[in-house]
Amino acid sequence: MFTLLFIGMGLSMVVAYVLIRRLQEKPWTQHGILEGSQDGLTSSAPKVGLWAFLGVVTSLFLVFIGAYFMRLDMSHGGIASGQMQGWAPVDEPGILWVNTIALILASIAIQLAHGFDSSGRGRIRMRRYFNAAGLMTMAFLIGQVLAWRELYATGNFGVSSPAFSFFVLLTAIHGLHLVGGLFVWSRTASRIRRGLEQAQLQEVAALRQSVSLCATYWHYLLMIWLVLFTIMLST
Amino acid sequence: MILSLAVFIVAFTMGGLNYVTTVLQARCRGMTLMRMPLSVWGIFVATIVGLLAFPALLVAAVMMLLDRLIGTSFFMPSLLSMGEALDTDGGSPILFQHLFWFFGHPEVYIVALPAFGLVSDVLSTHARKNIFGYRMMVWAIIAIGAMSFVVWAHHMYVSGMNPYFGFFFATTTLMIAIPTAIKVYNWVLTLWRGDIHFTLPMLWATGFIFTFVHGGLTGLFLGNVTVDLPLSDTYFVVAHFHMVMGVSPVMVLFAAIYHWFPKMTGKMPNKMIGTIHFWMTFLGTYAIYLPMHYLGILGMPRRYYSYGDTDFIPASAGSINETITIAAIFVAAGQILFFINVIYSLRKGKESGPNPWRSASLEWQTPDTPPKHGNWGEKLPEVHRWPYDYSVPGDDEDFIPQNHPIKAGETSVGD
Amino acid sequence: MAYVAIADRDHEQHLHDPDTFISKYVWSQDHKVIAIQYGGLAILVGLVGLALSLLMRMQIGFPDTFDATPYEYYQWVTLHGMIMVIYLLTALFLGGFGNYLIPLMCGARDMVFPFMNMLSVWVFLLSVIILMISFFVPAARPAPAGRSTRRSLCSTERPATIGEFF
Repeated sequence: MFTLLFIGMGLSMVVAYVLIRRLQEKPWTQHGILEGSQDGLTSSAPKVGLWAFLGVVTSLFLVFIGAYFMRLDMSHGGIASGQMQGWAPVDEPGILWVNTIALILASIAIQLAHGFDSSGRGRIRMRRYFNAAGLMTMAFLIGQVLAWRELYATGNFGVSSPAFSFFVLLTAIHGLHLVGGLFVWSRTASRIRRGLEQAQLQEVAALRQSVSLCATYWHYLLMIWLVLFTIMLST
Repeated sequence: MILSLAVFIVAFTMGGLNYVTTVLQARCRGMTLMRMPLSVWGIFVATIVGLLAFPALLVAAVMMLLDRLIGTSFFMPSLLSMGEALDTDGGSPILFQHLFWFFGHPEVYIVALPAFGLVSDVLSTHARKNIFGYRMMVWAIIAIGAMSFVVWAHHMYVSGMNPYFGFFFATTTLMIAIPTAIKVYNWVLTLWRGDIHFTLPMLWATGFIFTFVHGGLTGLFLGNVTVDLPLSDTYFVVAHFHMVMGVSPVMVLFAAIYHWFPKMTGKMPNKMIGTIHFWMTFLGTYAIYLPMHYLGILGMPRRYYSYGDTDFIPASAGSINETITIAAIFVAAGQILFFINVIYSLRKGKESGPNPWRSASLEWQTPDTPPKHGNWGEKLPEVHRWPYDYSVPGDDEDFIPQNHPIKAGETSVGD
Repeated sequence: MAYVAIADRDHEQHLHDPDTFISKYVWSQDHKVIAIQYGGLAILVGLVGLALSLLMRMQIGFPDTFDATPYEYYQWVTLHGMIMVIYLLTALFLGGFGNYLIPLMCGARDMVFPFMNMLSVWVFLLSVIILMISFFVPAARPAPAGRSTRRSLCSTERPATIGEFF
């Protein structure tokens, strides 16, 4: 399992590094200026920044997961077990499945929001789906809090139980990242609400880029959640 | 303090994302990655290392905060306090150490890599010679950055972790010495047969080479498990890391500040005050840390409040301690000279003009000194060559700035 | 989506030169000003770290000159280490020199996200303020154990006041 930690660390670094290096070519020849293009012109800088940030977040979650596994190992007779408390596994509340579905729907909605063209009807749909994604995410977060309360109410788990502490910690960190995403979402949503109908092509292109970046972030957090959920279910 | 660290990590992440994106996206025409000065490479790779390593500190800090505040037992094993068993169970301090040092070792390279980059630029400018082996320097920076993630447990040889891990980490630690050594050789080779001008920044840069070699050699001792066992937690370790993290980067710090001072303010730093500052610092820090190595070999442990009366630590160690303390006060006082120099030069320093050191890299080619908002005036520059065209044979000047076009008859531009 | 490099869209940028003192030097988004802010703050904190090192040296070289307990001494050790390495060296090299030199050496006008740059220096200031506060709130000082703070793992008191929240 130590090897798992190692591989995980290595992987995150390689992934982040490769992603960043992929864009290392001379930036002014990245893509030519397309005259008369339907879309407006944007800069790829925010995209690079987001991917760099995702590298950081990957590192964070991998370290958390690594710590989780190391702790698991120690309870099961690893290096320093001895009289250690056994790992009383947490029985995941059923509501977590509902939450998962909510988050999947949010991802789908936001991806669809990005796909619409710049026509009038397309813009309205973009707004609707984007808002829907935000609502589903809020539902997910509320569901997470409900899950915590349910677990705590069973009374089986003191704060010193490692499984419980890790459960709350991992879901809380993931939730915090979603909250941050919602903050960006709300700013984008208000930009969409304010100027979508009359916006010029340039502004629509910028809005679509924001939606696209949000979509990337949402898919990423969904993936993290699936990984966390699977790990917690199986231990 | 833990909360303050967490907040700092947020600040660092924001800044770091900025640097990475700027280097990747905002370079001007002609500035390929392999035409960037080594300063940028050092800072760039250090930022990437930091972005990936600071989360480990954040994790450790968050879990530690939770342990202290609400009594989780991430790191707390079953403990007896005053005869009563505590609530905690199942945690492990070794977990904390792994987490902390997984961050802690890359952290020292986050400090060292920018220093390596900056000093390369200072050395080549003041020796009027291109940095020897630019490509290898870039690869060495990248290699050190990448390998810094797999050496962390050399801080934990005596922690009680599985001893076999020690073998692995000792090997990687010695491996990371290879690119570092390559860099040292290249710096020395840059100076070899160069047209060295012993300006103020050059003094500090040379001081860096001395102190870094010194500190790096003692690091080789500590990297080996068996040699580390008697030296661990002694003053030998303290002397090593202060040399390599304290003295050398600080030498680079002052070299860089004096080197770019004319760029930032338009005035030259005062050479006399700066030279006295240098010698006080250089000799003083040697006076502090050289004897400290002997104390460590003697076995004097670190992080002890006082040493009492033992045979194991003779009275002469006490007098060495006194000398070191006096040297420390001397060095600390010497830093006042730095502030005096800055203030004096700001007010009465000689006007420097746009490029007093006749450096070839791009930042010296701004239309205004100090650069105004927007840096480049109407039009962004275009880069045609690498930043190290010094003493190019056949050329009238002894340097060619990066944004000068290729002249007729010029073949290689050093890419 | 068609992308254009930042260097190639330079003619579109309208640089709003800040004019008031506050927008030029306090809430500045200019990378050079931010670099000097980082540098100045880092050096100030570094002086605190230097003072701590002198306190430590006095204790070792001339024991019992000051009325310090071993507990306090170890807190000096931890703080000196953290301050020097993280708040001084990292902030000065990356925040200070990085901010100043990267755009200039790359031929850019400024950083790609100037607003975030400004935010980062203010958050750095916040972290320094929290650190300074922790000097004066006894329970908020770090565990007396050196950088790897091993000893704090043995501490068992629960916080009773907000100060210990730090």
